[in-house]
Amino acid sequence: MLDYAEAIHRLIEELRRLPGIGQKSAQRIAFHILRMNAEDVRRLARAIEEVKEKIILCSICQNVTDVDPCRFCSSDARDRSMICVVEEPYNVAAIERTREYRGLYHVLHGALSPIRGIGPDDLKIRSLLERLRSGEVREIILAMNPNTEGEATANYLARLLKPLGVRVTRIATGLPVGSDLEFADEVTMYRALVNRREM
Amino acid sequence: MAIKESEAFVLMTYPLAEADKIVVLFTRLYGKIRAVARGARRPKSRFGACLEPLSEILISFYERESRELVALRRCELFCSPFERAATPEGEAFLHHVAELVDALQPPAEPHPPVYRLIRATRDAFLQGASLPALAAYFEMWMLKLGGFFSPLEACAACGKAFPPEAPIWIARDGVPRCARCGPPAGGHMILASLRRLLAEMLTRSPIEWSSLPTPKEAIQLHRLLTRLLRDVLERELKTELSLNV
Ligand SMILES: [Zn+2]
Ligand SMILES: [Zn+2]
Repeated sequence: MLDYAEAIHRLIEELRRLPGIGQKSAQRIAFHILRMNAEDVRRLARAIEEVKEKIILCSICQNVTDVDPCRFCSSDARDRSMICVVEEPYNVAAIERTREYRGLYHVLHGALSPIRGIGPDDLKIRSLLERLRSGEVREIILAMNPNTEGEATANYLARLLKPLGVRVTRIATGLPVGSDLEFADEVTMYRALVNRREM
Repeated sequence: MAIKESEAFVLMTYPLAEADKIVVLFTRLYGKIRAVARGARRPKSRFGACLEPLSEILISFYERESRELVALRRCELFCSPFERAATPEGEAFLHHVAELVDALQPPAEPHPPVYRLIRATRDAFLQGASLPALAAYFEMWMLKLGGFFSPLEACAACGKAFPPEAPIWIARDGVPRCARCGPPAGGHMILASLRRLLAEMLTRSPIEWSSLPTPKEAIQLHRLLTRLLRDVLERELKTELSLNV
């Protein structure tokens, strides 16, 4: 590696710790920042600091928010009988974009993955169970990712939740819109068949 | 730049950049390799369910001499354990198998018996074999194929054959000793009933053997073998089976 001035070297090292950023990208970003004008750099630095200062987890749904409870949990327009459980905060945005769902959310912050060292205690499961105490919730929609980790997590939660008398549903998985049956693998095709619906 | 092709088991994946994955694979012809799957995290990715743990796939990849990572070109799914893997116990089992293969197999060294062992274990998994029993079978064979497990017939210290009903000791390096010469420091005791079960592993397929031990014996063997694995690897394992099933 080239021997950069200490400050540049330190910036590259910090950037490299971000997900998806390797040595080359870190260098490119560092030199881009170096060329930016001072005001833009200050704005970027402030935005980074603010996200850490102002963003907290909602004490009810564990979503990221700047007010507690978050705007979903405190809204009168949302259906309080439904909770959609997702792995990550950005999954909430994906479901909101459909404009189809009017219920509440719960964010687990991950999925069960022994090989990554993530067990039930590392996920926001206890706070989900606490939300069922009021008896207001009728249905829990499990919207974990359609992969092994998401599926194992959904099964784990279903076993915990069903004995509590709440309806537990799982989002359907199947063929992606715009794809062709010819290219579907056996697992995707199997699940598309199992999850078929009446027409 | 050469294009190579092989059957392979997916051990684990890591997210890379926006939409890619790094995939650790145990291939039949080239041993353990690390590959980049471009676009694998997009919903319409050509990799589909291929990159889930312990999926058996046919891959073709480019190898560049200067690089440690190969580029995955094409994947075709042979067999997916997904349906049984989709429970916490199933996932824990497959992650355990993947962790042991990754930990015990050096990069780029093909090992056909290990490949056949993974395949037979996967088949038994899909046929509904008891998971603690199947884990014990897989662990013993991984130790044995790695040269860490000696036949349990005679004492390594005094050379005498073990009496059939006597418990024996096994040292941290897998070498057995009789009760009179043992116990070695940090060694593990093996009851005669468990020793017989270990001997049966050598002659039976995983699905056959998994029906032999009682649930309690299977758990005892699994615990013993994970302790030996920890001794060999000199670290704790990340994966453990949930044994309350
Ligand atoms: Zn909230
Ligand atoms: Zn002896």
